[in-house]
Amino acid sequence: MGDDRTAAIGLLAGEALALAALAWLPAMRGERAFFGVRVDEATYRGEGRRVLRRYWQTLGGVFLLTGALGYYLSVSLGRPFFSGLATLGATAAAFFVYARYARQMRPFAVPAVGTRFASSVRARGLGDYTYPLVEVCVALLTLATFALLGHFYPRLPEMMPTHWNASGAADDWARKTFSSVFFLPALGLYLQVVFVVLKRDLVQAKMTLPATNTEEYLRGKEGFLAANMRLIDLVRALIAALFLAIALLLLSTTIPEFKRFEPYAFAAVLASVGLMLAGAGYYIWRMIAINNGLDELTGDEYVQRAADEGHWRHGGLTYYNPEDPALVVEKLTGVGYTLNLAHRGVWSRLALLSGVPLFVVWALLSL
Amino acid sequence: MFITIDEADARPIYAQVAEEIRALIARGELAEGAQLPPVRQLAADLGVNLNTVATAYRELQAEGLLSIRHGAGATVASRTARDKSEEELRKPLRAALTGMVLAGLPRVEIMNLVQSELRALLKGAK
Repeated sequence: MGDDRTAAIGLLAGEALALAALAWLPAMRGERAFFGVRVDEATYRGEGRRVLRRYWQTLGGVFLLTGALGYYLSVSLGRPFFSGLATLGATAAAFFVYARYARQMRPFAVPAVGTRFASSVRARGLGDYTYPLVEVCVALLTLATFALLGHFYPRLPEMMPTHWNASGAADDWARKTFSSVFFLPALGLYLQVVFVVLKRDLVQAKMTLPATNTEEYLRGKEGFLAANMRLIDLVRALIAALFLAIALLLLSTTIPEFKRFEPYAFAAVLASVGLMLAGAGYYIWRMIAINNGLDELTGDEYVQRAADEGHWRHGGLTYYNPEDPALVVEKLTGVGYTLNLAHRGVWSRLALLSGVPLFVVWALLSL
Repeated sequence: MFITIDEADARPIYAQVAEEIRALIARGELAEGAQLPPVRQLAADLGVNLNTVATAYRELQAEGLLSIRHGAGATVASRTARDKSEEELRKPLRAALTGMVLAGLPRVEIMNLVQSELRALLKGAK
């Protein structure tokens, strides 16, 4: 019971964070992309504020209701799952709330004034952002996970641990089968493929440059891209390290002569998770800082083409532009990228991502 | 090194792209054999249709400035436009000068303009 309450409270905290992010979303870029549309100063201060306030009220209401319901269900039925479900439901509902209020701002949209744009003459390629050392490390760690589990497969016990608690003691077990043992390295390999495709797509993402201050702006954009690539490489390396560490933990808790490696394997697991969180925090902070610098450089004339602006839907959350040859474009609101949903490449990326539910099913069936 | 386009300019976008690349080659910023970005990248970054950039590249290929090989992309072929007659070379110059005379610029200022433009163009040229 106590555990359920802790889990429910944790999920409530997550819901509060999601609420804060959603509340901030429409006004993140000020009047340049208020609810995804460019508005003038007077609208932003007048009608915009009113719409924003009503949006907050509706959003708060939705979260309060679902949060309370989820907390009640998870504590009274003893299933924290309901709290998680409520958070998911609230976030999905928030999308529609956001889109509804965004529609109210549409009539106030003023088109972008910038007509002059630039492009770098240097071609960008995945090779520019590939570091041999990282690739060798990732390949070795991933292969080692396969090799280690393959080599010691016959010596693993019939029931093997699949989950460890915070102090490193096993608290969940599964029957040893080919699919339960090799789930881990297979997931590792899949994630590496996904991340390399992601890197390639991000390198080729549309880079809109203004015709003034182009040099400085390009430098900022390239810095942003490099930070993003380093973040992905860091995550890739640490995922490979983490999965190897988990494999080692599995061996050291089940095979007697490896018993003495247990504390090291556990420390390695914790270290890779900690490093991943710290690294992600650092690079995301850097990317936000670079973005803010770029905003100052362009001032009010935010680099968005008048022709592209009309293709943002759902208040700037989704982009559908058949005329745009780019697959990956920068988000209108927020930091990062999103897909041009009109691009043919969207289907192959979706096919690739459909591996995620497949792995979830695999985990449910064999772990 | 950039290509700049202006949507408010009366010239078609493909002509602007071609002109910008010509200027880069003339100034020597794009040396012989230099690789140009793929059509897709340039089109996406400039926010124009793929065909617009492809047309510009083809025009430069016809002039002999670019060589386009399938799969390898576009590279700078040569820095001399293929044998144009003197009359062909004079025509755009005459048009530009006519515009300046009609705008009421005195002869000295026209000369200054031409000289400073030429100097800017040849700066960095080999």
